[in-house]
Amino acid sequence: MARSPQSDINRSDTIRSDTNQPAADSNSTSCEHTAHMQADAHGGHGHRRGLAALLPERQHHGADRPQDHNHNHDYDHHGAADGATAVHHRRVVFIGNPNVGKSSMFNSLLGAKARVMNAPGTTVLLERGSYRYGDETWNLVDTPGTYSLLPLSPDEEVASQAAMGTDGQPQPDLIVAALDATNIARSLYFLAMVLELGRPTVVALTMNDLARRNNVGLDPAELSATLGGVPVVEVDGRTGKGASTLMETIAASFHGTPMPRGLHAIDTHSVDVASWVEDNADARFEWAAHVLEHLNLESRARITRSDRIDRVLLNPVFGILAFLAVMFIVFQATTWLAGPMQDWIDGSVREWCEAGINTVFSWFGPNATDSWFHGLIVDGILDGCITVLTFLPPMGIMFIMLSLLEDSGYLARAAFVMDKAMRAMHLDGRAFLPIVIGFGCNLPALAATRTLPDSRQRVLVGMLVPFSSCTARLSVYLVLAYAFFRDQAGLVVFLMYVCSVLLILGVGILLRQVKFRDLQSEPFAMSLPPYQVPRLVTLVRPVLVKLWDFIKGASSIIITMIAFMWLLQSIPATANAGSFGHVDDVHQSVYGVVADTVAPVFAPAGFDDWHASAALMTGFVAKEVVVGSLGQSYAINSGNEDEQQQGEGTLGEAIRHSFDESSGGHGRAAAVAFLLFTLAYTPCLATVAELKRQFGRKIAWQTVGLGLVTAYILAVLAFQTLRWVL
Amino acid sequence: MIPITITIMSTAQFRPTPGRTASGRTPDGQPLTIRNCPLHVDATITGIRLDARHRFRMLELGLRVGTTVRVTQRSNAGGRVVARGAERIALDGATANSIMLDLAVANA
Repeated sequence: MARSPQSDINRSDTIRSDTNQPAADSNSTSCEHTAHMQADAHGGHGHRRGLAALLPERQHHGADRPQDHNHNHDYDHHGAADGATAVHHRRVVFIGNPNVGKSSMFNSLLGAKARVMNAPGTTVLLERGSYRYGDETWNLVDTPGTYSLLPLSPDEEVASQAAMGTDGQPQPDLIVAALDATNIARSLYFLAMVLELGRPTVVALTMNDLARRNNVGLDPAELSATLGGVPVVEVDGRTGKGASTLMETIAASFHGTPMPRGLHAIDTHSVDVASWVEDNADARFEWAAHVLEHLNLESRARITRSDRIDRVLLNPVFGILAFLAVMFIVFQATTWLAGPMQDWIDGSVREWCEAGINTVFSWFGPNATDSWFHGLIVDGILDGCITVLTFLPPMGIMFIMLSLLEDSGYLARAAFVMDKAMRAMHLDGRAFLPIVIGFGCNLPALAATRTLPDSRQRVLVGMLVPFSSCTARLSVYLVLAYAFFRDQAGLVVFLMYVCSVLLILGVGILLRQVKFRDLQSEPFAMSLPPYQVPRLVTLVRPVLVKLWDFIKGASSIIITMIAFMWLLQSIPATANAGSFGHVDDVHQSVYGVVADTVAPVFAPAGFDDWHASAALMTGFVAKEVVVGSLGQSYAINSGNEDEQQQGEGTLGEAIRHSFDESSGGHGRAAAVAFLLFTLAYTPCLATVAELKRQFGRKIAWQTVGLGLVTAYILAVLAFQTLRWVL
Repeated sequence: MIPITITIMSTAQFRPTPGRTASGRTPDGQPLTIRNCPLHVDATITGIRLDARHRFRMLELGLRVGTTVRVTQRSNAGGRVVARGAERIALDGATANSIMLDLAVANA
């Protein structure tokens, strides 16, 4: 249960006088903002206390929060150390019910300037960015969708705090309330609550095009008049139509907006939020009914086009089939469709880049390409860059597919259809999507966790995604299955996928009981948006922005780690190993020494062998290179052989020999242990980088640790059990 | 056309008969809820058997005692889609089972 907002209110110190009442003129507005600035100058910082008040606001936001030096302040301090001058950036908070097109509207306003980050001390995602309007800079904040200011989840709590300016959140200078024209009655109830906060409020009327199609379209001017003059602007988030009018209206409304008759402003710092929300609910509904009466929305179809589509897509039988078909399409798109593009980047683009680098080096002499620096650039930096680029196709396709599903209105239905199935882990039905996608590639699967409305569920699913057996792991399964279980290779590979599913279930249940104890199954009650045809063209910019965010967030860790691996392999560890950057036998490098050192750890799992530990270390970077690393360590060039040929050929024989030796004659048991370890431990560096980007360093390391511990326990248990029979 | 036929049949089946079946009950005497309510029939919410905070959330979604709703879709695991005017609200089976209805009030 979410913490009572009242406790937060009581803790907050405020120097502000009551500025909740809309100002009548610009003079009072000026006074209001002066009050804000004085509070800052004296260490008040709105609601920050003690030493924290002396620190920049971002210090409050916890280690998990991505740094964004430009957007975390509502005040920018300039000049001397005494902080004599401060520029007030007006704070505009966007709030609304889930699935009302609020985020689309926000993205259409900010585009590439929008930044997703965690709310202070939480994993709840907030989107924010700076918007220049004339000489002013406004800080726009998009909050998670909520049905109420009385929260039932951490995400709703953050939305509520942002609107109310409690628990360290600055008071908004203006609130943009997204009003869904297709769900006007419920939206009006929520709007009433927002208006009662007494902040200047502008209504952004969304989905009015859909409402018109259902003969319940609204006239913004008429609605504004019915609301007693509260500004109403129709905005289409998908096309951006109405966005500039919205910003003009916001600019004109900072001085205050009227309070509709029947509603009364509260003092957010003295009110008991629970009592206020609950006790006035009837009055709000009466007010909403009164507004609806004036709008005369009675003529509406009893059975809409969306109802007809739902007859199929929510049917008890066909609904599940349709959901599985959608999952299949998304899965195929992120694997088969992305595959050739990834191959092209990994092959052709790499060759072009290498050729270009070689050309540049050749300018410095005929032997320049033999230098260690060339090796660092090509095998370290370029390899890292290419690795980042190869993930762009599946990520881009995933972002497009998610946007299409969300835009069309199907994603909310998917949550409903799969609700029962995911309830075992107290997860939303939408959690099914990232886990399924994970069987193709873990990286877009992590991107898909964004569809989950609850931050705790997002983290839990993010920690489970690495246990989905991605296609990169298949090559390892095939080689070892053919090397050790030639006649039952297919069965072994199939069982690996079964193990993956069981792992997800087992670890999910375990995590829920250990780390996510507060995650309880909530009654499923969700407003369904009407279906609409998604517009691909309008998705391009947000998808590009998300891809750029991925590149910025994940590339540094990927490139650094790959360069580090190159460094380990380039430092000779013995006298005869060669020179720096020219170590022919990887076993003679520092990398080989580390692999030798690590190998005994795997003795209880039956593969106390440096070839195996070196392959697992390389596999931490990417599972695709495990087989290549094994071949390299055994000095076997398997050329163009496929996995079956490799498993049945010289490489398989070498692995069999090593594993038989390290396991005391139980090579097959050791092979199973190695397979399970490969399944459960960290899938790749890119996944770690994405985990850190999305959930912060702490969760990323916890996930890596969880994978390693689970993998080790599984491998040891499997070997110690199976060595009696295999 | 077929759904309309079903609607008429279902309504007839559930329509209160004086002295026999109460309008807030199914023909076999069970309390009428969103889960066992026939499709496309107007019904009035008479009670919500949930804990206080979730009952209040239903209220905020517009599912209040006295509100007229229609079940528009049956889904898997007892899930239902309820129409309240132009709005559509999806409810899981347990929640649908906890919202009590009465046909008589709505059709009066």
